[in-house]
Amino acid sequence: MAFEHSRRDLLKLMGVGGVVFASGLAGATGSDKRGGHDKAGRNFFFLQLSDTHWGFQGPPNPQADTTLKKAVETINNVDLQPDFIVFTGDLTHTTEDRDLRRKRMVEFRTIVSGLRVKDLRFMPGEHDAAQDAGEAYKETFGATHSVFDHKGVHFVTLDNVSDPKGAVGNGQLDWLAADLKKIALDAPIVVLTHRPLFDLYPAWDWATPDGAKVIDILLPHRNVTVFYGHIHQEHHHQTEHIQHHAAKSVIFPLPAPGSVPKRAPLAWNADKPFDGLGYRRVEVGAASAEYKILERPVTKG
Amino acid sequence: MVARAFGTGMAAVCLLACAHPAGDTTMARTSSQEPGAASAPHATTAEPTARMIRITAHKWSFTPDEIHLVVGQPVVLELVSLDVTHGFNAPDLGIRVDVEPGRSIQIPVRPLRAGTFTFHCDVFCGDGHEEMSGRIVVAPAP
Repeated sequence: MAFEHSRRDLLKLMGVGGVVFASGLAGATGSDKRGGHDKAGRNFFFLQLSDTHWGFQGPPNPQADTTLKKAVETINNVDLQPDFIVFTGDLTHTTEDRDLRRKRMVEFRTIVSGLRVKDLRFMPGEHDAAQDAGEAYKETFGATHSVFDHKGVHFVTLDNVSDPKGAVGNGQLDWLAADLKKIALDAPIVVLTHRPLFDLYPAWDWATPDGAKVIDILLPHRNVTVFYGHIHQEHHHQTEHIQHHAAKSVIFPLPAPGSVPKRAPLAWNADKPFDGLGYRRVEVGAASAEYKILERPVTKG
Repeated sequence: MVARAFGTGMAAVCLLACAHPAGDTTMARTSSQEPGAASAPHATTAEPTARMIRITAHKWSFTPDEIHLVVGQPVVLELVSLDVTHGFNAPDLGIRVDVEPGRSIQIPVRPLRAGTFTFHCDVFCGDGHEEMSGRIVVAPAP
């Protein structure tokens, strides 16, 4: 299997390991409905970048104007390229200036267009969309929620940020339920969203007000995995059989939930620049019942 | 609504020891409820002797951001926004209200348990929103 050899080579090259999460993919047997039934068709990987906050300036990252560009360079320098890259929100840092908001989005898109991989999937964070109900985001990137299928895996991007309170909303819940009716119950489903769908730490607003309704819709499906951002750190959680994996930020890390009185960014470490930042590689195997998650630094140095 | 006595919106609050469905014994709620507030049971009469504590919400902080209460002593939290719509969410106390400009929200509470309880803005209000928070410190009864 070329994929597995490549992965081992990459691990050796990077000198890092990965985390394996069982997601029951091996149970997928196929049906007439859409979804991942062609196991041989799977066997790919994608990258997750999150919370790039383009336009942010401040002590938590004195190199904020170049960090995203470094991440692009780092990814481009890896020989084995992903099938696609997902950006799970907060592409830009918020501003009340509507023109500046659009300028930041265009700049962000220009920077990431330098990635060798051209299949880029975006979704908003509250910094992108909450102040204008997603208007500028939609002008620049398109719909705030969508679905796509890739090699037998059904991907759903959910918008829990265009509402300033972070709700998904009844309209989108109905849309999700209608979409999943077309998907086999054993099909592998990946949900991409910004905020956690479960109550990770409500005292810091690390939750989605109607996230439980989303999970209720997902629960009948046996192979569901959620990848999200928002909390600027790696985090893994399970609600019943659904796995939830939060990604690091590309721009600044946040403290562990409840570890400090305020959810302020962690201080920049001049001795270890870019510490706590990163992106994620997610491997979807053909015969494996696991997603392999590998955390990557934004710079190689 | 009991809130009429104040001439403003009155939000219901179960802070700590009323018959909270989750068994929370932190505060007693003393008013009726309006949409968006917590759904815990509560008494239906205001506390006529309650001390008023005014909390202003503005980009991007609450003033004051630390509120000191005493177990058993009723107060009314009056919330006012000076700019845009904010949220006041103290999840451990079962409080959640919108704080809109031009409209004050009054929340009668009577602490029933000592402790420190955080609150935060949960309506995204711009740069600095994430750090817009505070805490309620409840001291034991003297």
